[in-house]
Amino acid sequence: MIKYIFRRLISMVPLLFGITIITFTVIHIAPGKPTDMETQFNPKVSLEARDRIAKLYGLDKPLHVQYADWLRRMARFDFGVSFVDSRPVMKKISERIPVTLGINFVSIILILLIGVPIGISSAVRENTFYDRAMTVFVFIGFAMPTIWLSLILMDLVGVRWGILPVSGLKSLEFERLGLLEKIMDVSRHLVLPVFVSAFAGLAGISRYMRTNMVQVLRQNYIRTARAKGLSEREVIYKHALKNALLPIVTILGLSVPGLIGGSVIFESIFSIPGMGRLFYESVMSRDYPVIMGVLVIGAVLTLLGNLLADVSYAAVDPRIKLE
Amino acid sequence: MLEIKGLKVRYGANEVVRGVDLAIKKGECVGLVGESGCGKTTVGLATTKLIDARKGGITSGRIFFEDRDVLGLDAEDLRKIRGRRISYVFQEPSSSLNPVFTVHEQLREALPEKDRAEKAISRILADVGLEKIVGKKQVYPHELSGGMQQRVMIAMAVAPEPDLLILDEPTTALDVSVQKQILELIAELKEKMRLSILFISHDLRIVFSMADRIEVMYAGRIVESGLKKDIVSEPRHPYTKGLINSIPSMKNRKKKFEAIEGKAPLFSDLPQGCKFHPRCGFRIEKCMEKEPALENVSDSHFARCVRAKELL
Ligand SMILES: Nc1ncnc2c1ncn2[C@@H]1O[C@H](COP(=O)(O)OP(=O)(O)OP(=O)(O)O)[C@@H](O)[C@H]1O
Ligand code: SF4
Ligand SMILES: [Mg+2]
Repeated sequence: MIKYIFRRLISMVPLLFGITIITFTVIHIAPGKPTDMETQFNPKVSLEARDRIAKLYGLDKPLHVQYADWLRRMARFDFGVSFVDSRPVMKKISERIPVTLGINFVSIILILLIGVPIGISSAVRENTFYDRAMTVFVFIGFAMPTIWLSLILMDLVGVRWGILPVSGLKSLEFERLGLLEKIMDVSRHLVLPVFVSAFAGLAGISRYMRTNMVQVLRQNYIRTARAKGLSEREVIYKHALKNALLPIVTILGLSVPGLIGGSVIFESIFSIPGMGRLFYESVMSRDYPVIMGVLVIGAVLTLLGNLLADVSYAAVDPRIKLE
Repeated sequence: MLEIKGLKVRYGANEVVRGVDLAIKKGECVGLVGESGCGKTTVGLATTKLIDARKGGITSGRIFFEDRDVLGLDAEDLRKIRGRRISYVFQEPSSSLNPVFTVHEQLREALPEKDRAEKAISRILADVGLEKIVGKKQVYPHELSGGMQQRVMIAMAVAPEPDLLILDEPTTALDVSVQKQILELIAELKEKMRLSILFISHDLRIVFSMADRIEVMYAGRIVESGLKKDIVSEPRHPYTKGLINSIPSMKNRKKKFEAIEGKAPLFSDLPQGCKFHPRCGFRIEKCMEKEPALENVSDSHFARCVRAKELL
């Protein structure tokens, strides 16, 4: 097992290498330049000045030389400094990452806590009114564009009813609050973003769970369990459930890229200072080092998610042995 | 001990068991034979109401187990019969065992709640010849061979010391050599535990080797019923004759064996009259009018054929 994990980690290196080459190239040939931001709307900045800035950032060199420079720094885990505020990229990201991971973690837990029971109960009541109603409900969540849902909720809950804050993580008077109030304050800010991201993810997990469960309930070993005289509860929540839950483990590991993408959207909408919003801002200002930093971290998380999916699947399914 | 009367089972629009009577006395082994799809498994499952409710159900008939009306029992009382008094061994051991629980755990569950001691489990494992292999606790079904898996199924079935064992093609999925071992094991356990058995198979040879009485099923109904010697020595229904003739190595060794011509009818499109008439070499006009009744040819021997008495 340890050996397997080690081998997988090693094999991630060339993969990451490839990913960075592609992203680096795409970013640099995409329209717009970092220098535009500082110079475009400022008539006093001359062309020479602009070139001077480009030179300072190394943007005048050929692309492959720039990449080699970047890679050399990366080898020392140096992500460089932001073009925008000259702060180390590493520092900018590490400030932002806990918020993003936290929100995603809470929303995954929520999705599982709600989606899995919906899936099970739908499967057990296959093709009944309840099953159909649940299908409609989760597909509404699936089909509704995140942005639209967010704006509606912000308008209703935040503006018209004024029950919840709609932007940021903390209120203005945050610093003056006691510990408990601080926790309450952050929680209130998180309700809408977490709800939006969980609602969108609910359809996937609950449908998947339903499909698994329906399939498992048709298996011969379920008939055996009934024939043994086990209660319906034991048949469903022991014999069927364990089989139906196994593939969910994999889905979770593989859902990392989707979560990262989702974070970019809802963090931007709700002005949450997380990694998603950082990415959005850095793309807007063509802040190459930050964009690359976020992408590398995202790629590493994705690959680790894949690995985790395989390892945990092998851990829970006795039929699978990792070589 | 078990008595099934006029059992009818429907799957969707098809009635696949169309009025079956069947009785099993204490200590008796009754063989239920017939071609694939004739409804044998369905009869076995219906005995403890195990028909998948989403696909079909029992539409009429009565089932008595030791004078209790099984179809009238509620879920709780039914559970006390399933697995405890009437237990099953199914055709495919590999798919009939849950892949994610250990053999040990699945065996433990088969025991009545109050009697799940390690000692009881080891004793049963010894009974089926698995003490060496499954004695170790962490064995999963996929780590065992087909024959071993079927031994586990048998162990699960006999663990609660049931009265009636329903064996649904217990050897069909196994190699010939393993088949023999499993049949020997079943015969041995039957003696030792004084089990009554319903032995379901499409293989007449195996049924002949196990059963005291034989019921022959065709298109959802019993077409011939009798003691083993009746069926072996003087089958009265042309279908039974056909089945016996299609056995390669019985008394007709010199004659070339022949399969019954044609295919079993679809339940959605059963013929008028005798359901076997399209394939029957003895057909007369009368056969196509109405389905014959199951009539005596002797005290212990019945056949559902208008020509049963003249055919020998
Ligand atoms: N779950 C089900 N849903 C729908 N139809 C079914 C189902 N199970 C069985 N049937 C149909 O009922 C009929 C009888 O099936 P059954 O399994 O009882 O036959 P069998 O005699 O045991 O055959 P085999 O030798 O193939 O096991 C078949 O025509 C089959 O297609
Ligand atoms: S009733 Fe007629 S068709 Fe049917 S088995 Fe007898 S002889 Fe054949
Ligand atoms: Mg069958």
